[in-house]
Amino acid sequence: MNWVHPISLLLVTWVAAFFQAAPWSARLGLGVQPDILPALVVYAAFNASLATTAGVAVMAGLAYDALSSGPYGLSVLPLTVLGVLLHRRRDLVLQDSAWTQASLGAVATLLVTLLSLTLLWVFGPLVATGPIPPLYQADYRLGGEGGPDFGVRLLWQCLLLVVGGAMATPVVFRFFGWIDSTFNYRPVAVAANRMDREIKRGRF
Amino acid sequence: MLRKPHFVLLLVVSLAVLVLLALPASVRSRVRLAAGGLFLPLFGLAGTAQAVGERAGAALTPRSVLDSRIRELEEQTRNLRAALTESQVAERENDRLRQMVGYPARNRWKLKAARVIGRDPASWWQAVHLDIGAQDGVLTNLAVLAPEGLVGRVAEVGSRTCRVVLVGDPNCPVSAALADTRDSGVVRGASAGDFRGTVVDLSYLSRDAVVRPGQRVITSGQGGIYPAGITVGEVIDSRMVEAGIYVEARVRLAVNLAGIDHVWVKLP
Repeated sequence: MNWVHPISLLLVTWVAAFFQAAPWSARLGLGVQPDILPALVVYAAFNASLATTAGVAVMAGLAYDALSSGPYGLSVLPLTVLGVLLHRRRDLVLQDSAWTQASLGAVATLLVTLLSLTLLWVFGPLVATGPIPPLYQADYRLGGEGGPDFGVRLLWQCLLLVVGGAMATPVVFRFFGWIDSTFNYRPVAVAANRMDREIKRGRF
Repeated sequence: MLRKPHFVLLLVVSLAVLVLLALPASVRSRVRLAAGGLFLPLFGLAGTAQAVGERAGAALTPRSVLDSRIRELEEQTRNLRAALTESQVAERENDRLRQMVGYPARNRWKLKAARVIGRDPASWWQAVHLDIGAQDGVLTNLAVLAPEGLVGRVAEVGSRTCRVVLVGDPNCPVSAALADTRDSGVVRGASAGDFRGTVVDLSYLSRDAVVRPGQRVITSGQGGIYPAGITVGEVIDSRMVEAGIYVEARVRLAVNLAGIDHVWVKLP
């Protein structure tokens, strides 16, 4: 594995965070923006070193929060937890099957979503807003809780996010498989005739 | 369960996140804006690609279609000029009458046009990014409008971009009133029955309030951020909540927030 792999992973993470915030993404007309960052962390956890996995998770979280209304830095933790847990157990999973990848994507997205929402409910009220100018306090006081409301809409969003994550993960694995095969050297196959077993003939 | 390097890494990241969250809100906001600045080249690239696409589309449009569109726009401009002249006369008359009765003069609205360059990536927040910032005179907590009505308020300002929280976002409550009866309440995100963010709740209406479907909802001007009289939407239905303590109405927003691409920021 050369430097192309971690660099491409970080670059794709940055561009993916932008695409999720692009104006034409239009939230699929369903009111939900699919999140492909957990899928990228899943791929990194199975195919990259621990340092690269953590790098992808931290960069994904910071990039996502830079464009989002949530407290800055809060998304880093769920993605890192996901990356570290999967990296620890990666030898136990048959990652080549598309079905496994989709299942992993669904579970990963669900885990990240639930962790993010839990952190938002715990830390959100403490860190979401700064001091409010006295003139504007009335508009804030009148009903603004500062966190997402739990309800049917949030359940619907979680459901679609999980489905989106399940669909995105095999695509991410295929994409990086293509990057890997295009830019990396293939390992040379070991020849059947070994040089050290060659019969050296002398004069007689 | 976790090996030592995994555990150490998780601990380090958790501590770093806690430090980041413990920063003062103004510092965290500046860090966020600086990180958001890394996306400016991509936003610029996306804007250029969109403009090229639009130009290509215009080049492929037949001349006859363009001619008819020009005629249509000329007609529209003539009508708007006539309406402008009429409103200017009314404005002068209003100013004169205010002077006569000793009312303070009205503040003229200063509007700055802006393009939507991004949206909030998280599904549970309703926010957009605009292509104007502190360099253009934008400040936090300014009202953002569209021709159809209220869009939201400026939440964070960078040097060249700003983030606007939209009506219906948990961080964007709006003090609003029914246009005909003046019963006032607070507009918040819809509690039920809406998956696309086109419906909001008008809460805390008096239990005696007369609420009918189709009633126009406008900003009341009581909150301090939004000027009075801006259209928010129209009532769909209403119900008593909290054992009849107050009335809550569902309101369909006047502005299609999922489709906005150009808005105005009301400068101070």
